[in-house]
Amino acid sequence: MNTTTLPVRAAPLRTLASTDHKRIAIAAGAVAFAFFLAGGVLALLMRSQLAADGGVVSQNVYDELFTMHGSTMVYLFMVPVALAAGLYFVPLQVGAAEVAGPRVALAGLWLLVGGGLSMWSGFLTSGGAAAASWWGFDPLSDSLHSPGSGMELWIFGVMMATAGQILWAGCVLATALRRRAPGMTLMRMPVFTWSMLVTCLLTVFAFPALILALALLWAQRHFGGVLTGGLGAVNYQQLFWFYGHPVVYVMFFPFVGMVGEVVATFSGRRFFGYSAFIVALLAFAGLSMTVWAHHMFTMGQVTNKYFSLTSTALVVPAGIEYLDLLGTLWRGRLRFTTAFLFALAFIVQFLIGGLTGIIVASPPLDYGLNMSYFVVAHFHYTLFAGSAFGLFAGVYYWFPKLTGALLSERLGRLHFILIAIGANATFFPMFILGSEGMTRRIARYPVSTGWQTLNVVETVGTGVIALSVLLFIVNVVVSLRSRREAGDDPWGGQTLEWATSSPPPRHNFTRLPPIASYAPLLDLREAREGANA
Amino acid sequence: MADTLHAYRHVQGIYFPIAIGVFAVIIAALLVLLVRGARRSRPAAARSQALAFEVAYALLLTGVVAVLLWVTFTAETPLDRTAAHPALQIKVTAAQWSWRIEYPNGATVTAVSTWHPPVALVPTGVEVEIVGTSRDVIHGFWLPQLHFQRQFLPGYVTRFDLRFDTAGLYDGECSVFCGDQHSQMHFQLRAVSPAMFQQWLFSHASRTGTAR
Amino acid sequence: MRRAAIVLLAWGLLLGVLTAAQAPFASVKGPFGLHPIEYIMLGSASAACLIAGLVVWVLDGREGDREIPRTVADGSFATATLIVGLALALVGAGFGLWLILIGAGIAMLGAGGLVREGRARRHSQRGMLR
Repeated sequence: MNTTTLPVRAAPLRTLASTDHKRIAIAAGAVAFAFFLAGGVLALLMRSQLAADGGVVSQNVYDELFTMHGSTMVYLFMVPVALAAGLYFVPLQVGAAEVAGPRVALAGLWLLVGGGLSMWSGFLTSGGAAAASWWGFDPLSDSLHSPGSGMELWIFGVMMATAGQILWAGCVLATALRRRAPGMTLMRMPVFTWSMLVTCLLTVFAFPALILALALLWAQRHFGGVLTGGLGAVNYQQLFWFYGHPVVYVMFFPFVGMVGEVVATFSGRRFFGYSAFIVALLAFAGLSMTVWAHHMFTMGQVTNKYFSLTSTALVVPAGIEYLDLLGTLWRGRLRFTTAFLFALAFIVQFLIGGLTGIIVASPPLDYGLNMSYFVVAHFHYTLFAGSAFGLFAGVYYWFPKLTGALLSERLGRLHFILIAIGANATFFPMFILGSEGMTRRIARYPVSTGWQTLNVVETVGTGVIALSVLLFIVNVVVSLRSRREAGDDPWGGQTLEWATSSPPPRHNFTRLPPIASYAPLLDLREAREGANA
Repeated sequence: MADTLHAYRHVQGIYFPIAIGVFAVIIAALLVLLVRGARRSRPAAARSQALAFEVAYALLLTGVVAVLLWVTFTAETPLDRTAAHPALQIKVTAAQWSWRIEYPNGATVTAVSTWHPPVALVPTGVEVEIVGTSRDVIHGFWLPQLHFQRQFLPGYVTRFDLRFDTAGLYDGECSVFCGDQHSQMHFQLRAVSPAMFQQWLFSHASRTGTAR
Repeated sequence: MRRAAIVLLAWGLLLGVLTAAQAPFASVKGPFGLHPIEYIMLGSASAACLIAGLVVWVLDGREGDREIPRTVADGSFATATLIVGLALALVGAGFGLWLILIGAGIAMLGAGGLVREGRARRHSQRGMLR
């Protein structure tokens, strides 16, 4: 390795100013998790309101709750944690000593913190936090219909968080493209690294549209004449959704990559269909840049059929990816660790989200289902029952590498059972309610609709989810205290991050094993077994 | 023919069974693999790729996509068109947080921020053209029972056709979040025979006004 | 190593093809037909990706497979200071000139710190290579 380190004097403040991609990623993950808890509290408040048939919060406050819940989960939790996983593991998986552009990565962390603080400080203003939904769509979000600093702070906050994410994506992309160890060709990069590569392509080439949309919104609020009339509102959404669809794939690809690694490791065999999977990832990501206006089918202002075509075509790369995941289970010897259980649940639950997505990709069906709880169920199945479960798979898998300690498998299994029950209890009934005409973003429904029973079931589900998250936190604390040493490679991993200590040293590796495929450690083990046979 | 209800049911009748079928097949395959994999004591020798199979599978999926798109496009085209000579044209104006429904003879029904809106009549069995706009922010004109909605944009006039084949009450919602009283923005239509509709229209013209 | 640029060039090309795929829908008349903003946005993303690919192609050509010795500071307070300053200045646009000025001042401190860090790195690198 050709890097040397110049030490910094003030050690206690190291994490805040560290250029070590591992420290930056852990700090980002911790910040994102804190926002997850905050966003979760907002969800609990909303669900209490719906289960109690009103009386918990006013409609005014409810508007702030759903706006900040969605905004927090997307801008401050899911996207940052997805990119942080790449920031930590891509340099390790490609055998690099550093991430490309460490100061740029550090800047991203501070932009996340600044962005989050700005958005949430809206709650401290007299007018309250932003209340125009996580899309901030015009004209509802203009100065006439959303006056006050809450909306301003939201706009600045989202801009900052998004800018930080673009910077992170640039660093991770540059690392994967230009900092690979000798012998680590593109087609030997692990599945997770490839999933991060396409994630970064989406971030770098689609996220700027959001910053532009928000800048135009800000100009409209202060000077007017920018987003004029009905078609101005359409243009805002064209720009917003050009970002808004790729962002949901940024919140998917890293987790399908993690799940791929977990499935291969606990199946004891190399990932099936690697080349096809890579082509599918690139095609899937490319297509996901072209589907955005399916969020605008009911406006009657976009080329519905083009966007329906590209949205439905997503079935092809998605199907290949599922084939390869199942193929990796084929003829393996399965170890049902907590990470593996979460990966399996991801496969099942994301499928529900994906199939219902194909349903609303058909305009005749979307005309009936748009803005209803059917769509709310669809995206919570993909993002929560899908991606968040994939995230937990990655956490249980990689926690030993980050900390050197193993998480409790007993507590992990309990966490899994509770959250699986909670997620399905919360979100499945929403498909039914949405089909019956239950509109989203509403604080109270007439009892005559008969929806109250299922609303209560859903709220109980969120309580179970909350309990499971507390259990997870307990697991982390207890496991760090009791410190069962994990060693370099507790699971029999296949990729380079398992070829160094847990946690890795400052420059990641002291020596690298030979790299002949996308599963170098598996190759080594198989060669050793062949020699011993 | 803007038959939104039957278009939805037709497309749903194809998409939903396919989705459930695909789910069932994949879960079945997953269960078989899990049961076998749990029983094995060591990984069995296996190929790590099967390109020909993957290409064939991708082609199969492309075929499925083509079928779905054909169903969707053929159902959608009539829904996006408006009839050249609709039997009736109704102007609907949305505003924070009310619906004003105006008939050709000047009769008006207005629903202002209520869960119990006054009823506006429409005739069954004919093309009713809605000419909609908004006075302020984006609103959504949604009739869940007809499985149809369209957004109303400020400063822009949108047109679409509806067909009410069955007589009865149709609940209307605002589907697009539009501010504090979004949850109160209801309207109600009652579909009656054309003859009854004409009667009502004639008598209503002389009693026009808002109702709460 | 030059193959890295191929990923960007290929993906940029894919986006270009998907932009061109909008063309058949130009025959649909009315509001459900083609809108310029749709192909301008997607076409811009395609162009940006192709340009990025060309840049990486050129950079890789110049560096080749040589291992470049890099010196990395273990920490960079200057970066943190710069971003905090910029964040305050941005939020100041909604609260008043006083905050913008405070933010700009802090940002300048950060920028100055970055210059110092850059000089220190060059100094140490010269020392190493001697």
